[in-house]
Amino acid sequence: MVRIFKRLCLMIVVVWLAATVNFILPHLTERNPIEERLAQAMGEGGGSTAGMEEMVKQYRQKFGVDQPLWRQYLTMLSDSARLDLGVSISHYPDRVASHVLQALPWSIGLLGTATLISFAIGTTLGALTVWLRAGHWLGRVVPLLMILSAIPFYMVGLILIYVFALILQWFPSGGGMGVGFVAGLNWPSAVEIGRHAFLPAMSIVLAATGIWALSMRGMMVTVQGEDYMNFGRARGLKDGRLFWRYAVRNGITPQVTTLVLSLSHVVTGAVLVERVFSYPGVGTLLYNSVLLVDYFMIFGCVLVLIITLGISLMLLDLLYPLLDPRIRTGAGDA
Amino acid sequence: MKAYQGKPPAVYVLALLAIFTACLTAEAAAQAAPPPRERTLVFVGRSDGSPTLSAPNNANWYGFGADIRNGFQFVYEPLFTLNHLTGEHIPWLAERYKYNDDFTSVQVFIRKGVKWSDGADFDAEDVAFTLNMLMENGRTRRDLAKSVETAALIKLVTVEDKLTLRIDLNAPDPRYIYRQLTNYFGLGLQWVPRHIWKDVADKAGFTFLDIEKGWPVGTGAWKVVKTSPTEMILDRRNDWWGVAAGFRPLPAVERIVAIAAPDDERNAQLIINNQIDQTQTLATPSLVKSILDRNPKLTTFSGRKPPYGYLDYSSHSLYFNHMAEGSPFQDVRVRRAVVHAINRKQLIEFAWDGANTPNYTPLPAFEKLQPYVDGTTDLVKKYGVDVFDLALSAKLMTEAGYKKDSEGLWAKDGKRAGGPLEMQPQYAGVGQVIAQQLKRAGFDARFTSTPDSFRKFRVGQSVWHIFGHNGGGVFDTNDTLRMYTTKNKAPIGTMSFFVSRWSNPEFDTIFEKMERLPIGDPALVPLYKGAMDIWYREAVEVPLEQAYHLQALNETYWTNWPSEQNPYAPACLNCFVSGWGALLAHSLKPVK
Amino acid sequence: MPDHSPSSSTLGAPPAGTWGSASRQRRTITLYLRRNPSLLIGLFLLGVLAAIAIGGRLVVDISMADPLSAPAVRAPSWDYPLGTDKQGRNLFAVLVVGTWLTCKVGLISGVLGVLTGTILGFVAGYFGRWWDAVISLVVDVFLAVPPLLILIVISANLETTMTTTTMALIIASLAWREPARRIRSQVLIMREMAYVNTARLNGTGSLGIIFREMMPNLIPYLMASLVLATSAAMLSSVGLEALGLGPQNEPTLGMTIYWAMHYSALLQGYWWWMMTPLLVLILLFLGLYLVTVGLDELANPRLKRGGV
Repeated sequence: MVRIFKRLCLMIVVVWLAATVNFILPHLTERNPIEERLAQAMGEGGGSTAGMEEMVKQYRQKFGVDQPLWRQYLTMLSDSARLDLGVSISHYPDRVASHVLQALPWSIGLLGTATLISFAIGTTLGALTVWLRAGHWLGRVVPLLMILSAIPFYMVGLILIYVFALILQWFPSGGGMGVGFVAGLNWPSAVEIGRHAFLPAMSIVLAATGIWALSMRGMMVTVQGEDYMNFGRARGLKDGRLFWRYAVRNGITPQVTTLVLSLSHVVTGAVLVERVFSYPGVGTLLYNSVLLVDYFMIFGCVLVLIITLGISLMLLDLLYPLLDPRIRTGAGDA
Repeated sequence: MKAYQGKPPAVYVLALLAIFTACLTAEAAAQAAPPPRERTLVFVGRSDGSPTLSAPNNANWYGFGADIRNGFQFVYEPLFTLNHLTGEHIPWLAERYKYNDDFTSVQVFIRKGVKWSDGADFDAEDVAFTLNMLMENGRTRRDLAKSVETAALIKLVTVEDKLTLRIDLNAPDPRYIYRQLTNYFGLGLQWVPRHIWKDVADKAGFTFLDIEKGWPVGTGAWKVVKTSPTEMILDRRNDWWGVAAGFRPLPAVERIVAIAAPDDERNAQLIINNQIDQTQTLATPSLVKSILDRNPKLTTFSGRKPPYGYLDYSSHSLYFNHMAEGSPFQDVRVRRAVVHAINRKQLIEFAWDGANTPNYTPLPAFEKLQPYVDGTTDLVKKYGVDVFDLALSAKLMTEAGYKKDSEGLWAKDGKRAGGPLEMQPQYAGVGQVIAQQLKRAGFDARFTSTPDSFRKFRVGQSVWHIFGHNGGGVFDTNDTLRMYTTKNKAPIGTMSFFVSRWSNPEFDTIFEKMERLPIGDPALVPLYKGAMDIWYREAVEVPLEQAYHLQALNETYWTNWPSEQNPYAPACLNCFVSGWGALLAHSLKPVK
Repeated sequence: MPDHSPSSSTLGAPPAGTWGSASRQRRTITLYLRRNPSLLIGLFLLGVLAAIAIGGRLVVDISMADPLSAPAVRAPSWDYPLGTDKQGRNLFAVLVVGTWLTCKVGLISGVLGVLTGTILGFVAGYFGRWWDAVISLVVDVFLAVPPLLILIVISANLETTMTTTTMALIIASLAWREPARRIRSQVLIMREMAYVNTARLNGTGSLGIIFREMMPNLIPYLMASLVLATSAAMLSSVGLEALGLGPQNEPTLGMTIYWAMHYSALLQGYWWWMMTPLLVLILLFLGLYLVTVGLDELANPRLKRGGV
């Protein structure tokens, strides 16, 4: 219990410190996002910017960014404690939370699915290649996937766009849905969203499967040499049972650990993949907010990351000993 | 700290709720029978590079960060609009205007029978209310856009009768009608319904958007039925006032959809697949060509041939910041050396695939401005503005005391002639070519286009930059020359679109004379020539080339797009005006 | 001993499994490629790229990597073996210069990152206690800072134009995080090893133990870390460049990808413009990956012994 409490406190400290760093960083620039936003709109097409100075002053006050930084920091702390992320500068008058929540499902859907798929395929492949005898064709898939895993996701994405969207025209080159498409809880919507998510998801799956396969393979090689496997074999257990219950069961724990960590990164999206495919996820939102130094939106996006990361790390730390019987004893005296 | 413990789960719950509500509301918004695609006009709105529309939830044009280019421009209508391609001044909500003899007062006659979308009459009271609201705000809270400008221009607004309005000005101004009452480019005001706005206390914070209530209330032929971060949908109002008033027939466009498509690639794919009818402004003529090659139904303002678009007013220049302290460009000889280092032919070949024209003046090549351009060709020759000559450039630099350093760049007292050449991303094509040409001539020109460039050169933190003439003249040259007056020379640190930060008392005097002359006065051309003699002598900036608005148009569902043969309006649905979009959407003809 | 270190004492530290999984991953790759001389293939790939970057300078005038050196957008031909881009850069010259520049960014930030990371990792791992707690906490906190944010903040405060060197320094400002974690865990394991204990019992001081006993044994591991950090730094530099936030006056591979994307090169059929930098980067990352795998085999003698 003490251990859990200590871990929880530390998680809170990490989240708080990370939030502080990410709060201060954007304020270190000389830029004035409110003035830039006003100038952009008012001066567009030769509009007059007369009196803009006054407007800037008014709105700096309204957004509270005319206050000294420490006071803004305190306001931020109390606001986020109340789950109030404030109003976006670049998307005024929208609330930050509404944009973050709008973007989250896209990122979670795309990256979460892609991560799970690559995990499932990779882990199975990795396990099978060890199990199957040498020379099986599956054994030759893995080195290929390994080569792909050395390539950044978005570069795979660029090649996929070229081949499947521009030359073959099988899939759309970007976006979350077709133009004017009204999504609902129905089959056409699923098809539409799936069609648009296919290429970006593929670029992640292609690049990530190799990583999962290789680490699973490594685990399986280690596991195969263990005494309980020989024991199982000696007892005359069937291959399938031996494979799933003994080998995979024991080899998969570290895989799951890594999976949880990868999934916690899903919430910030993948800036480049989302950008290459103009996908409306959190990565894109964060990128655009950083470019425009929208203090509130940046903070909103990063806060989701920090909290998810903090919780996942804590849970893993706490649950890991429970998952792996070999470690349980070790954890006792830690 | 305690609060943080409860927070993460709440975030998750909210996220899940959001997913479901998003699905459900989307379902609810799906209407019984939306108009078919062949009666729907789909265009790409403004998003500034993000996959979401800019400000789709703020219909208050005077509020913070409002952007009316994403659908609201079809809700509001202007008193007058201007087709800059022909110079035609087009009355819309007003029928005509009349100045008094000394241009200190203007009468505006509102058209009869105009109605707001909620059925109320649109009359002189509404216009007066809007103007008074801005004047009062400009003197007190100053948090509405255009309020300070309006307060400075107008002395008094009088409603003479239901349809007649008199505006008394603070100073004689024959161009007032083009500054506030005519909507073109980003100029002109939007009118708000008095019966709704008079009860709003915080007008700056008012978003004027509530679809249930029928807000925003406008006079236009379309009303907003849905807004989301990625699209805005407007449906035709069959009870639009223009039909009963005999102004115009009901437009054929039954539904207008503005969508967000952040990059050229996506725009291209959407229009090639006939999902949209008009793209955003595209980067290069060669890109437009490769798009046209993939779909025979696509065209542009100039047809299926270069320059693939229409002439914009923001001709491009290389600017010097004349107020930058210690800048090598304080020396006119150095500025002249830069003038002679520019090879416009090469620039147009690389940056515009040959489809553009060099410019030696700060003016766009509009028909009405041609007399002014013609009037100064001898000045261009006299000062060698069109001369590309590296030897001449080197000679001027040597005269100015510069020597080439070890890297072959001009330097004086250890300081090189140049610095980061700042510009926005849309000038990257021009900027890379210019930077390289200048480098070859020995200038320390470093192409720089960062997210901060926008601010840097506008507040005067850059020594030189490339930019378009934002707000230049259309029917005469006053709007352009105004950028170089002492009154508009903003100090360093103050944001300004007039990025030369140059002025000259002699130039000011000539300009004051021009301001008092009405548009088209024959005395304007010689005065312009006098002003430009100073401008060229001082080598204030280096004009580069014309600006074209490059855009693909789709004739699969809609025809009668504006073209060189029929330039009835700029072919721009997402421009910052309420006039052009309406002209266009009213004139398109369905194919089926 | 299970390869997870009982490091959970610092609760902010990532869980044991992840610390181990990276090296486990590479170890498994090693096992897999036991018959494949991965180090050799990796070095061969990097050698080819180095030959292009160095030898290429003899073949092509590298000033051709500047704009306006060649006609715009020409497909590969005898005169321009890799074609030209829209601004008239000779893409073969871009390849020669860009490969070097991209490696330069990776090397500078890789070396700085590993150096800082090693110091932090050693201090945390060797001295333990609150040193460890503080350093682990700092690493964890900075893991939650998006590199994009740092880049924008620093570049907005730059008085001058971004160069590859400033780019490298900016990336280095976050490149210490992973090496610090990796080296800390390695030091934790090593600290308990017999020879270290022996040295300690013999009265060797901390610095002596660190530099005379631990460092030499860690060198192969540090090399592997360096390659890994260099590769990671290159990955993030190319990523930031592809977003248009890189050194705009230098033809790095990432900037070339950015310009190709900016001008919709693929859509316009200028495939060579995009594919040249893409292929070089793929070979580069692959080479580095294989070298890491190879070095890991050297670094982890336990693997060699137990590798079936």
